[in-house]
Amino acid sequence: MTTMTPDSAERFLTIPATLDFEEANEELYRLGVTDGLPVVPPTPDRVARMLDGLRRDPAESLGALGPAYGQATIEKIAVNAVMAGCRPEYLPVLAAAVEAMVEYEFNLYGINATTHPVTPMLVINGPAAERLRVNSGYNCMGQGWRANATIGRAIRLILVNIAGGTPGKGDRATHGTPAKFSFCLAENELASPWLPLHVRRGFAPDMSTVTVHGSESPHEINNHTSEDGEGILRTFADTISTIGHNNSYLGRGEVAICIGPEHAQTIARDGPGIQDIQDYLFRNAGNRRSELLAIARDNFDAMAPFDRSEEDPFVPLVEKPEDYLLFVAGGVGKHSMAMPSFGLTRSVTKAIDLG
Amino acid sequence: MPHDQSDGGFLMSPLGVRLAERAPIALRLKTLRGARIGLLDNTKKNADRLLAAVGAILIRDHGVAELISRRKISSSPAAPDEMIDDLARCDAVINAYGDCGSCTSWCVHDGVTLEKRGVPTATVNSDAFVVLGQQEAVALGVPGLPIVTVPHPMGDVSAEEVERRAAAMAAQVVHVLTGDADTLETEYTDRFIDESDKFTRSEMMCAI
Repeated sequence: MTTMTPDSAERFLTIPATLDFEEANEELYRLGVTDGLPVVPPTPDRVARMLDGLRRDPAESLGALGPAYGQATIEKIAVNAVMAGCRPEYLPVLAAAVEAMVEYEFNLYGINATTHPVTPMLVINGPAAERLRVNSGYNCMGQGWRANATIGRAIRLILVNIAGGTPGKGDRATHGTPAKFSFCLAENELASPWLPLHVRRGFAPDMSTVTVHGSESPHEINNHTSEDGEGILRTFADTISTIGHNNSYLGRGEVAICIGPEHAQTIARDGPGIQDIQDYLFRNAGNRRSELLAIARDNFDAMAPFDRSEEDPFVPLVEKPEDYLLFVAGGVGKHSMAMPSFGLTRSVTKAIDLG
Repeated sequence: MPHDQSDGGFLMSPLGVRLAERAPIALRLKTLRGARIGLLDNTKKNADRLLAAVGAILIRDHGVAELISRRKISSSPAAPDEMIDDLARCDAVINAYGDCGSCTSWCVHDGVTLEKRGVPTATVNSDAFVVLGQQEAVALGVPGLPIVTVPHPMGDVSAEEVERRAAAMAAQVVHVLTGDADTLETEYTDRFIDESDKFTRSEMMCAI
């Protein structure tokens, strides 16, 4: 375990805590430490109250975050959490998400610096969702819930301030995405006909977890008409088979689909489980070799395995069926959401220590 | 600083603190004559052509004996350990290239790994990404990493244009693989970045 003993110049800015809200925000914006929206000024009192939310040594570092490789100490995470407007009880979620993001396979170094419009999507499972009131229903990817909005926002501030992801500097996103302001939701476990994501990943049902996925902005999947699951799944496969996203470009990585509860019920009514859906998508989402060659995409050696003996083989989007990351969330309605990924990243799930 | 941590009179800093590490670059070769040169291809479009063309020039004009090519599965993340081991058996390496955010990150990371292993390396970035590349070299503790530049973009140019760019780049490659390491390190430190570009504002500097 790395423990940091930073000196006061590293722990404090030169902005007096007595400045009023507007003046403090002008200074913080000028320093480049915000997301452009006003932040809660991180006074020592507020940071101390935030640290009450997690019984860990504030000097403990959870790892170095690239591209700047700043150490993510509990205290630094708490300062960013204050700025984002988090409640202290959210701090354990942020710590778990940081622990997930520092895993090598998540490839934060690539994700934070890339030109691709990627952001960590956080999916929360288990009792934490209800206890922290993380929205998993209507508008769970949109505005209106403090936990969703501020946890996701704190992750972005951490990636800017600890990790060096300043736009145009450490963060070279060509456009970025509105999802970079915040992207956090819970699985709607009660509305799911299947086992929750964290249980499928080996955690006990009564444990709380956060899963991070290096995600594009969500894209709608509308199917208001199919009377069976086959029609819904065909719509999933067709929606994600577009040729322009990174999974298609690389022929690897994970694609996440947030299945709306109504779609989930229609699919499950005919019997398919999660593995069946993954198998279907693996077989049916992708592009013909000729279509890839038509745009001079010929990096087939690096792509998912496919039958090269065929004249015009079907190249899947991902390497194996399990690369489809499936979970259920949303309110009433016949919509699901697709999240292609950065491609060169694996989602990671970590336990949340609610204390 | 005008304050101390006990008075509570200042806002707290959200900025990360980096562990202070600093490594020198590898010793360079006296000459390329008779050398085995590793070519690390990160799969970015035209990296293979660029490396092949530069390698051919090094054989033709500088007496290089052998080229050892290795191609990553993808430009991100790092080259696997076995590939680094193979390349570390070469006398020097050309590492191409970074022309986007994530591939620059891992290209520089590979370059830093090789330099720390004692292998003189010409790390190639496009001129649009060399500022990021050098920021990352600083963050990874090798601020003097010699980075060779090619014009941006590289992905949409013809094979003939790649040949021209390779010819224009060859002298830079020879320059960074040979000669005195200290001189080279001084030459490349802060070559592409100024104070405003650095990740580390004063608040981020670690005193350890």
